[in-house]
Amino acid sequence: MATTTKCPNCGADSTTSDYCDTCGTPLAAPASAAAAPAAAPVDAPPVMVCPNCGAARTPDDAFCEGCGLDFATGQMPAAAPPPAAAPSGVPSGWTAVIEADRAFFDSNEVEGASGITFPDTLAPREVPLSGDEVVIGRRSEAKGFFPGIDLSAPVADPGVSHRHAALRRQPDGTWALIDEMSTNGTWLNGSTKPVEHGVLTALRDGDKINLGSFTLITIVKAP
Amino acid sequence: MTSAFSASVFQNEFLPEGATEVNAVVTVMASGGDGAAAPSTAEKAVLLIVDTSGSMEAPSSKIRAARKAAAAACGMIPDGTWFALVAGADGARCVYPYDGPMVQADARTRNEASQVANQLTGAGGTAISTWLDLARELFAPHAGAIRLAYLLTDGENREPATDFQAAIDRATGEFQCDARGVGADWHVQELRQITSALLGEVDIIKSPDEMEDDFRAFLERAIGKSVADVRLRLWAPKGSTVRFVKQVAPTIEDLTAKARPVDALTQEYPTGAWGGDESRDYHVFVDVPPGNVGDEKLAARVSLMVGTDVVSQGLVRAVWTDDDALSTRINAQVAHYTGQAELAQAIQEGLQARKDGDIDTATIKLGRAVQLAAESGNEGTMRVLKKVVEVEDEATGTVKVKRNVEKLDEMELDTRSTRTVQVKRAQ
Repeated sequence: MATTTKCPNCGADSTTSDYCDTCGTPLAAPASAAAAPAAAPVDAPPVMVCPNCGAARTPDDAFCEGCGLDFATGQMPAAAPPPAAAPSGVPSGWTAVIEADRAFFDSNEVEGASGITFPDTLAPREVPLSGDEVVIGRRSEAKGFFPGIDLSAPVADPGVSHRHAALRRQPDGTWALIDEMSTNGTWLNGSTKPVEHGVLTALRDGDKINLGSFTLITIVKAP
Repeated sequence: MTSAFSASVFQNEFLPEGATEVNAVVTVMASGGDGAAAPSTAEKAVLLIVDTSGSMEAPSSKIRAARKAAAAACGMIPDGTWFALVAGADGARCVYPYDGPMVQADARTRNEASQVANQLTGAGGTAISTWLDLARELFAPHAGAIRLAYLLTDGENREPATDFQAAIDRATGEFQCDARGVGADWHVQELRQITSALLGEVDIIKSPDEMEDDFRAFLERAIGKSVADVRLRLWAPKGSTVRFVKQVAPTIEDLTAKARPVDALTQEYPTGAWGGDESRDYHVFVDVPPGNVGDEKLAARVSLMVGTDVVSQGLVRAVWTDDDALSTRINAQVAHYTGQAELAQAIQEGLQARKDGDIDTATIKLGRAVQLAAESGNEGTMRVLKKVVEVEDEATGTVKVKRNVEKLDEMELDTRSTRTVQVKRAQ
């Protein structure tokens, strides 16, 4: 524990081995390969870049600042196929079951004039949850935006925002729900109040998420 | 440990030669190891402080709602949680258990407390310093527990500002306190003084019938807390200056002045108790000694401390480059929260100018607030802003300050001004 490293820059004995605990100079080659490129001299472009738009990134970035690409899941770029078709990352053993919910549809009292009808023929489908984040929304070809759970097909739910909500993988392997700023809100387990915007809520096996005009997403953990 | 913490750093680490300013947003997430549904095993003490001054009887719907809400809240306290009920007026009295100390909740104590709550009546004035001092005494035997108080009042504090501040200072670090103002006769700034020091939140209860839900929500949050006294530790290199450390989500709270030195290069900031599933963002701004092109330095080490353990940490770096394309980029998270902080400030300054009769300044400030709220998609704040101004154009911040504004709406805007939204990541 008491081992120290001599800093080549200021000569202090540092108790931390990654950076000098006096002047902040990087010490030796870090064990993590990820830190190495950034520590290299800057004359050759040492930077990690976004595979989508080429913007500079660091190993710490979860999202590209240039185009918003999610590095963990590969979601969003126009060049990439919808992640639902090619899930990146390791399957988590959790699945989202998507179906149309008659009771929720009825409770929304959608006005007849809006022309939204309940999709009687829509069969339940499953999307395995993988990566760190699965976005729930409607795809936008124009913006090259492909959410992991795409509610624009086979029957579009018009009450769903393009980027409506997201499921985020938690460090303990479970998933949490976040509705950052959907227009029409997201409901958990039949609650009368929508979940608060921007607040992560942990999900358990069997939790039911309602959104849009008729969509029900049930989160299921593989036995 | 019932919670696991993780920290991620968002920054543009590239600086032009000679530059010294390093900004980063650190997102800290806690996730419950034992599932969110299971209340954590951490010992908890909760205190309900209800204003029983004479004004609560005018109209009497306030004291009746407070009675009902407090009785319902006492009935919901989970088994084993230490609790007490304080009635506050010119002085404070622990009404259950009578004259204290706190008891552990079980079927009998919950029932007794609810009965006492149902008999609260209002009389006398308001001296909040006495309430805080009594709270401190009641919490004192539970130093290891998660200590949370809920203070409900309807009026302004009638005592010298110095007495009030001194009581807040004595209470700081002894317990956390949320504060709620009922109706329109209290001062946002006064309650914010309490909650800012005692790591709680201030909010408005516009109508007495909202009280019960708010009490319930407080208890639910309290039950969800699983780790007491978490501190943010910040190391910065020799020769650097910490310009500020702010919590920026879910609300803005400047922590800079709360720094407690650990050693010459390290400070700690209290963040209070954390729930099993919580995410908070911090904006750190450090001035480091300038570097040459090609240099890399650690600009800050941000660690989350529980007791003596580092439970998570994030590294903020500085890399000097001559590539302008890299160094001129502004990190999206940093930009977003800089805007949210300006939004809160613009609202508070705009409301103050309006109060002072300076409509020109109010129009400029609140117009800027509308613009910032629109840009960042902060719909909650926009909704309350629109009760105070007529918006002509969100994008340019062209507004008219409404002549007649409900005082409640103005206070709601003030209390909610510090609420932020997290950064939009895609689209």
